[in-house]
Amino acid sequence: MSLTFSGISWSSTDEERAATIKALEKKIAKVEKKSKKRTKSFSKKFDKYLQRIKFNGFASAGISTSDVEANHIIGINDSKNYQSDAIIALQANFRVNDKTEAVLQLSSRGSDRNDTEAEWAYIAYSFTPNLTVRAGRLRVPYYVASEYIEVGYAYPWVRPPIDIYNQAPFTSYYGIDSFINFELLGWGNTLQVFNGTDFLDLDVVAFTISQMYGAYFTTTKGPWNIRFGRTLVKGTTAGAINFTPPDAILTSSDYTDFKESLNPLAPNSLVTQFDLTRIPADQLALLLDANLEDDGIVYPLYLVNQLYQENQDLFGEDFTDGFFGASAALEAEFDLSGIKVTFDNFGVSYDDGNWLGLVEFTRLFFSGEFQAVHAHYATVGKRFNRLMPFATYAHAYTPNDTYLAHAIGHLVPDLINGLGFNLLKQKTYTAGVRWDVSAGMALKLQIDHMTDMEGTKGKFSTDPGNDADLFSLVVDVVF
Amino acid sequence: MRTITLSVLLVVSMSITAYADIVVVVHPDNPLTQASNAEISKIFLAKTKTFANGEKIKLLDLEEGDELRNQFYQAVANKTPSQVKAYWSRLIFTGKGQPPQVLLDSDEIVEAIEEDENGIGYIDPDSVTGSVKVILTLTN
Repeated sequence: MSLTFSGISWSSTDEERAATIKALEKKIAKVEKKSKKRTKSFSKKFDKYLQRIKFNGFASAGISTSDVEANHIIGINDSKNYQSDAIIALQANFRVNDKTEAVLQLSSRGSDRNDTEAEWAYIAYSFTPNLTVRAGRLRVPYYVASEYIEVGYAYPWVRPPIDIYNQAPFTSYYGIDSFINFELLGWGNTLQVFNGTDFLDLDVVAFTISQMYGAYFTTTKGPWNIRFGRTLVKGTTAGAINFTPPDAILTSSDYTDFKESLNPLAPNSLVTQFDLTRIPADQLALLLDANLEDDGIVYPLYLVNQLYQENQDLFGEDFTDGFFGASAALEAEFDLSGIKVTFDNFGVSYDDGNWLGLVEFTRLFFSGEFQAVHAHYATVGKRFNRLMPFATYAHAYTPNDTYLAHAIGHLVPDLINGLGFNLLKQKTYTAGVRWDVSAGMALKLQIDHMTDMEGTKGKFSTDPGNDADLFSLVVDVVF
Repeated sequence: MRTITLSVLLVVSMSITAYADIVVVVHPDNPLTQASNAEISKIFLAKTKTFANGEKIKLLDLEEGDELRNQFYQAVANKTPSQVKAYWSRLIFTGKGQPPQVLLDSDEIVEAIEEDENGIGYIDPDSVTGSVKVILTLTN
């Protein structure tokens, strides 16, 4: 007796049965293989699709406080601050084809009340794996960590040393950059060049960066990484910078302060832009009043007037008009058209997995009568499994005491404070520890002791005295 | 008796896992015949982006948390998983690189290299087949 099922004969003898089972098994295996193949090809297609779009992100949250009332430029004072280090950023990389990619990174910061901004938004095209050109909105690579300054997980500190990293108020630009990678004598090298423009509308001033150029060379071998380069910024202000100091600046004690700030100065001071003939009668009277008590009155006023006459062309008429305007509030205006700022950088890092060493030197030069700012730091860290204690010494200072800085430095808004409009002296001693809680999450505790401000505000909005401590606890994640 | 044999086997295989070598493999047609730790470190940290013949390197990685992966990066770059992640976040968020494609296990890496001449991966020596070429053996 036999019956046929699906083309396979069902026989009653054992051999026949065995043969049938074998045939069935073969068929099942075939089907299985086919289905596996199909699943695989589907999962491959899906993988390919996934490969085209990538999402990454980073976030930080922290609490910090200081032992002084004065506001630190990152917004911290002696009350609890949860805002300054808070950030969440999302990045999407869309692969257009083998060589082209579109990237958008959106950052939402506590310091901006979580207004969301695009720091990166560009199209990248790779001519070869070693030559890439990007165009769109990009970050300015001033210093070693400038491009990842907010990615807390990427570095040991709570934040990159403020003495060095809080200088320019513009962190991104519209333009184009390119990378060339090449190897030479066993060192891996990258040359990054860029050109761009930007427009910056601060509350106090609208600043147009008409041209920005930069070139950076990075070379790396084993644990060593060396980088140097320069960014040159040419800018103009739309109109002039307006400083509005408090109304009461012309009280007698303020005037005394003002005069004292003049005393150490040489006669060719730019402070002498104040045209006394333009001071309204009532305010001039106030000035004179303020100095009747003082024997030295004739000298500074005479000096001021004489030097104004000699240097009239340096500042426009608007300056004096504004500075000693009729309104109770004084305004200092000066023209920044044609201004040039250069940012120089040299950095060396060593990271062998156990020891970490970072050293950076930066110099900022401002054309005209403004300051140069020199800053450097050194960090040493040692890893003990998941813990890395580290220490940093940082120093920032203005090497020349320009007269303008003496005269108007205290009126300069925080945002452009770092550019050297005012005098700056500060040393920072930092001790901290990074704890790698898990891959993708780090907890950091850090104390910054800021000192030797030599009568300047250091990195504060108002005078903190000669010493200040900053305490910070931050958690950083990447995802 | 059976249980004892099994547990002995288990212990043996576990100790093998813990001290196992890791081999770095490429496609047999790849011009690379051997590589040093330093070279492999540069390749897997995306510092070297092309093979000697100019072809773009296709990195094949294992998932985060995979023991073989942890051992590999420790061996070639002296980096813990956290350090590897911090390193990649510097590249990702500055647009300078995307981490390698992640595969499930050594066998999947072998399969992927079979299909991609420019693939490179690190695998368990037991997974080596005729369709890949070993260019570096890491001994713990």
